[in-house]
Amino acid sequence: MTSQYTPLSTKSSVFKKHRFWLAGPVTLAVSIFIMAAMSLWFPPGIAGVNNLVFPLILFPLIWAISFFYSVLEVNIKRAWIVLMLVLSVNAIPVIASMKGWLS
Amino acid sequence: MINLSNISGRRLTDIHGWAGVLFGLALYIVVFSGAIVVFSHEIGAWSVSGHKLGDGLQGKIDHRLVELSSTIPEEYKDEVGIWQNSSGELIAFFHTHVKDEAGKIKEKGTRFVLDPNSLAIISQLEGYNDELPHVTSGFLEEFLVKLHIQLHAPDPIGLYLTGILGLVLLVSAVSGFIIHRHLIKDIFISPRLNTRLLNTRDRHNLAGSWGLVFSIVLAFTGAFFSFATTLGLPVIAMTAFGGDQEKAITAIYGEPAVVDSTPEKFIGIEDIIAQSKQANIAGSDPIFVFIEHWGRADALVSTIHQPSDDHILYTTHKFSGTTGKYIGEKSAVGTQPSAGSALIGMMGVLHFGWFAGLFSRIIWLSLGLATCYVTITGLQLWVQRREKEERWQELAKLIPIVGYGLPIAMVGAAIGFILTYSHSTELVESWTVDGFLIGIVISFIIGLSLRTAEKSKQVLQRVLGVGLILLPVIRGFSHEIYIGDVGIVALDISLIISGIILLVVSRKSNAHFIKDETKSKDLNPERSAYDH
Amino acid sequence: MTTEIATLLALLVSLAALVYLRNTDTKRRRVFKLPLWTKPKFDFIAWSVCLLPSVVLLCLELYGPFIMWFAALSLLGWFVALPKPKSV
Repeated sequence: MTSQYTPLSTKSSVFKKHRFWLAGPVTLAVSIFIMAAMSLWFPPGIAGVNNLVFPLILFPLIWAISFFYSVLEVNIKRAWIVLMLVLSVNAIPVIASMKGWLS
Repeated sequence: MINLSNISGRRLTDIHGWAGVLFGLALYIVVFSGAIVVFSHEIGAWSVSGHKLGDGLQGKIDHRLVELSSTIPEEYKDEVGIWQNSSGELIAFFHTHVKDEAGKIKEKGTRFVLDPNSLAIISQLEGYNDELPHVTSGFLEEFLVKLHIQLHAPDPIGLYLTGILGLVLLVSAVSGFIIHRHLIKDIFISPRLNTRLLNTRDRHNLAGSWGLVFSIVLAFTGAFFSFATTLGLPVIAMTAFGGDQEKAITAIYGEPAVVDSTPEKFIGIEDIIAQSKQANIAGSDPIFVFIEHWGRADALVSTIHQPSDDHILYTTHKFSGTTGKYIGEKSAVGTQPSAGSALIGMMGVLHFGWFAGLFSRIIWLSLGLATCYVTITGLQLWVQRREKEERWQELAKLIPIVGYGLPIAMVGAAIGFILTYSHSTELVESWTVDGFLIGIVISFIIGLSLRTAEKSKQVLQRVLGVGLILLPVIRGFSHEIYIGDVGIVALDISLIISGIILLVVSRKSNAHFIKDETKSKDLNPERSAYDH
Repeated sequence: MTTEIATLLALLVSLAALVYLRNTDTKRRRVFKLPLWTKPKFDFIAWSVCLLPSVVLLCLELYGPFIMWFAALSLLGWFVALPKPKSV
């Protein structure tokens, strides 16, 4: 793992870069899990829809924040740790709910 | 704008540039078609010269609806959607919800297309909603809208594509904001003429800086509309409803208050529509009427109305389907007003710009075109910086081909539609598509046969200009000329003016740049830190 | 109709402020070799005036005009900045 910068346009494959995997698939997974988990903890309100609507609306924002975080975090080790932590914290309630452990 | 470490700054510059190079032209297609479909209803009415402007939904239709309802299977009375398309034809879709072979819930029923004056049946078809053929009179409008929403790719791939492009625009706008180090200082710098490169950069930066906030708004709301139903809803259904999408949808739309399937006569919608027009209810003509449980004691009628002078959101009003009594306003989602429901409404307001009539639509069209301008100048900047690299000159040629080719193809589609619509309706679909494809082919032939991008831009501008001027002429000769409708004449005039502007612009020689750009490497030392 | 008038009025106010800001803009004058602006500059006041319609429209609960003003402002600023100063 290195924070040494190499421009995207060099010949070395972009797929070999940690940053690519972080900003691409990992960011996507993190934002999907944040959205899914949000539907479980967000207050539904009187109409009972806020917990469904807010995650849907916030998804592009959540994605953008995690994307820019993974791009701009200088210490890539820390970026991995933070994103994996966020991923697991959100994945646990989602998986628990899907397995029916919450009901 | 924001102080970053050198490495992060260069990384963002790379992302900004490569996002543009890889997705810029696709993004342009989505944004340009989006700008055009702000006027989709006007284009729809124009494409058929507004030939059917009967009473439609505002007329005496109850008797006819009862007649139609007696000819269809009983289960299709579960739900009925009634609306008029842009050409005025009245569409009534009696349907129910069934699972198809793949287990997906779909609307299945009978769709009647009626003449708005005589209420005679123009077509009657039965099947799954998404498999029914298009209503011919609305095909051009639908074609353009689908280009914007899903690039004509199959569901849900098309929506994923446009969603990703929305995110690309979001990333480009935000990264552009971060890497442009003198955004406030340069906010009034008119594009300088020192060199072509500096001029392009100034044009890109200036338009990008001013358009920043709204390109973020359009990108964000667009990504929401693409992903909400294709990604978000299934994921949330899996999490919160154990994979049951039906349950999730019911939660969003709200459970019916009472279920009572005792047969009872349906009251009809004429009186309900009249009520909904009263100032204390909606105060305007409904654009869509939705009936649930026709012929049952729990029948409900909802009328949907466009935003009015003091209300920027679409409103839905509910009436009893047996007594006709007004029940109240219905939220967009859920059974009661909520922050979530208001937010969904706002997403629509901000993305479509359909909240204050013509004026807001003109602004939204301009916003879309401004975003296109930023995309195209960004691409030009990229290739001009790499003028000596052979491989990038292919991209340089592609920019005017796509930039002008897309509107030329749209003109082609419109010509294909207009020429076939009055004479042979069965050819409308294929010739609208063919017209679009012919437009693309012509643009590529012109663009690839001319030596420079500059020259091809000039010729393509002329082709587009002539095409735009020809459209009203072809429309006038193909249909009965309809002077009575202001909207159609206004669109004709706008097309002619746009065509003339393009012809004039294409005559203008290139701006004179002060320096010979091959000699000037150092454009502006204070701004070149992140350039390469 | 009030919607359109309110929006146009708001845009006119912002336009006036933007034109002033453009004409007194230091970098623009330097880049296009115009004489420096020697009279006092009221940048803060001008920006406040430019953004003032947002407060007024929101206080009057004119949400439609507010959104239109906000959207059109981005186009207005661009068009104000685009033309080159005359003396060049």
